[in-house]
Amino acid sequence: MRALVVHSHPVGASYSSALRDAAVRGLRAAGHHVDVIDLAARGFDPVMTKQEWQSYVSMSGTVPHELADDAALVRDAGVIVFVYPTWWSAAPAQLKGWVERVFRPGVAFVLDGNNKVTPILENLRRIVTVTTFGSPRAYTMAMNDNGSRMLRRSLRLVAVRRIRTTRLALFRMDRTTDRSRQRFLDRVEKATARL
Amino acid sequence: MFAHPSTESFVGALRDVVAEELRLGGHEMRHRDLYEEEFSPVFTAYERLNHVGDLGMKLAHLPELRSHVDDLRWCDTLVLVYPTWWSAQPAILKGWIDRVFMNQVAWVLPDGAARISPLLTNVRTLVVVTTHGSSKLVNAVQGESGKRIAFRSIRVMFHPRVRTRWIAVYGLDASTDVERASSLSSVRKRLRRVFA
Repeated sequence: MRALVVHSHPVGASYSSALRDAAVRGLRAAGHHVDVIDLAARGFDPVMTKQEWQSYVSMSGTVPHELADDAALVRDAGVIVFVYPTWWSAAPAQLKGWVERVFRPGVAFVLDGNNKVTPILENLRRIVTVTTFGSPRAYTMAMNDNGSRMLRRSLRLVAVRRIRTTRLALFRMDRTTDRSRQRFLDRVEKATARL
Repeated sequence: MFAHPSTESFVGALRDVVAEELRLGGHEMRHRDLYEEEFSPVFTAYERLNHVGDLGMKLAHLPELRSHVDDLRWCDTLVLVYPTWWSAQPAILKGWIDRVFMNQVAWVLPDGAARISPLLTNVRTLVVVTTHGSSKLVNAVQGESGKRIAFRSIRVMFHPRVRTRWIAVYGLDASTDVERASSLSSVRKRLRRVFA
């Protein structure tokens, strides 16, 4: 299968990049072809432009030039793994905007004559979120994990097949130790190797 | 706070209704159009590395955020007007939260404390005016992340008894002009009560 890892963290060498690498190792060990999109390294602009919005509303299937490569990776992917820190209970704006711009008409879905969304991602079977929280687990449960919720529940709706989703989370980042961080890295590598 | 690529959109019309009703209620208004000012929603490496750094120093490095901080501290009512995309706020508005709700502006963690203290206690009313392309049912299935981000996550930074109002239009993709006009007037009525 083809696996796509989408990483969003502002700092180049961070724990988040180690999580990204663990996911890549796991997926490769499982025999998948792995592509990585690193949004910060690329300086990805997450703001949907007015032209894109207009073509979105008219349901134009034409993919803007700068999004074409990412759109092709999304169409081919059997597994998408999102690696990001959770901020304000949700994904960083850069990742949220990547979804908004790339999962567009003609790539992820089409609208039929009755304005009903029809999913067209034929290859996608698994969505995995790997994320870190500043808050403890209980606080996160109360606020909700809206990043993973958005990525798993919303994106499931544009897949043709039934999707299985996995959430891997490390809570209370500030209180973690080298050992607990290493344990989570191992967990991510093992979980992605089983996909 | 207005976050839509086009002022000629239905969300733009909702923004105009918000402005009219605030004026009618005799309120003073500051208005920000994140698209118009080309706000960058990307939280930078500098901001991450100076997450809890000195605020004055940070704002000297990030002059584009200074007036946003001033506005947030100035208001007693915060109105967010945006289209719901993928069940939540558009990236440009999420990034405004990621960047402006910073340490010493929205919250502090006092020495030895287990939890953060809110600083934006000046905000006593939080209003969200938003549109959904899909039906209320589809949004319930998706889990209304945007509502939770607004009314759970960021609400905690405001006054402990902040009043919240969710004013949402559903099913916009399939709506007719007549239905949109009627949605607009019902939003106006609800806003009039909030701003009375």
